[in-house]
Amino acid sequence: MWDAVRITGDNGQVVVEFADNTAVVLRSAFVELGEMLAEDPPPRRLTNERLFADACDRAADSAAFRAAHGARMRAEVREAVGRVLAGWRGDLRLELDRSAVRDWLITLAHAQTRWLKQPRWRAPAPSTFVAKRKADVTVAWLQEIATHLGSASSSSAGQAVEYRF
Amino acid sequence: MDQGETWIVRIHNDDFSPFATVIMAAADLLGFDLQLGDRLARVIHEGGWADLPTRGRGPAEELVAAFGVRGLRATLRAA
Repeated sequence: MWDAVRITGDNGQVVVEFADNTAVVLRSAFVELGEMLAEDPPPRRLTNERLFADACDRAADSAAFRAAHGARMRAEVREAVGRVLAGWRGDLRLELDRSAVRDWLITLAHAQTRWLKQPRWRAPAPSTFVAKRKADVTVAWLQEIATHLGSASSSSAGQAVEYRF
Repeated sequence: MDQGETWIVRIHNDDFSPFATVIMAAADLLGFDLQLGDRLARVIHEGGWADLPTRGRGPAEELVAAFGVRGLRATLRAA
């Protein structure tokens, strides 16, 4: 048997092991996300309107909210992606504490936006790894890693968990 | 704007965010323990949203922004 990713968690400490190609593809997705977040003006697929949902019912109020908070929110996402990339050079095994898991979840969440036709909160969930579009497969993988990473980080002492996929 | 007013921060369900994202955000931003965070995540998942009353517009906006950074959809309205 062969696993693309193996994630174990014990009392909040998480260990992630990747197959070679998984690490390469995932890291390149993160690098690309970091570069896109830094572009000025932002690329069409990664505008603040696509990264962050409307905060209010009225469009004008949401626009005002983005004007007030959007740049800082984008910077926080970019910083999280930067910390993930700084802490992970593509190694096949890494250990994550709670704070690193938080950065990974932020990175995995927003990395999906680049591949989705619609913003995340409007898009239908990818239901399969065997999708017609390469982008749907990528989103499914990013989501799968996020789900298991999060679950592993919630593990209690003496209740170690392991996910292989 | 009266900073003492109560505002409602609504966290919405989506098909992409794992429970753990909600649980971790609830712990970091609201001080919820694991059990309460899990309950919040289930309410959002099963009911479509959860409302968090928040004192003052400024803190409510900060909360909405912080949830947004974590990839969650949060909205703001006056109570």
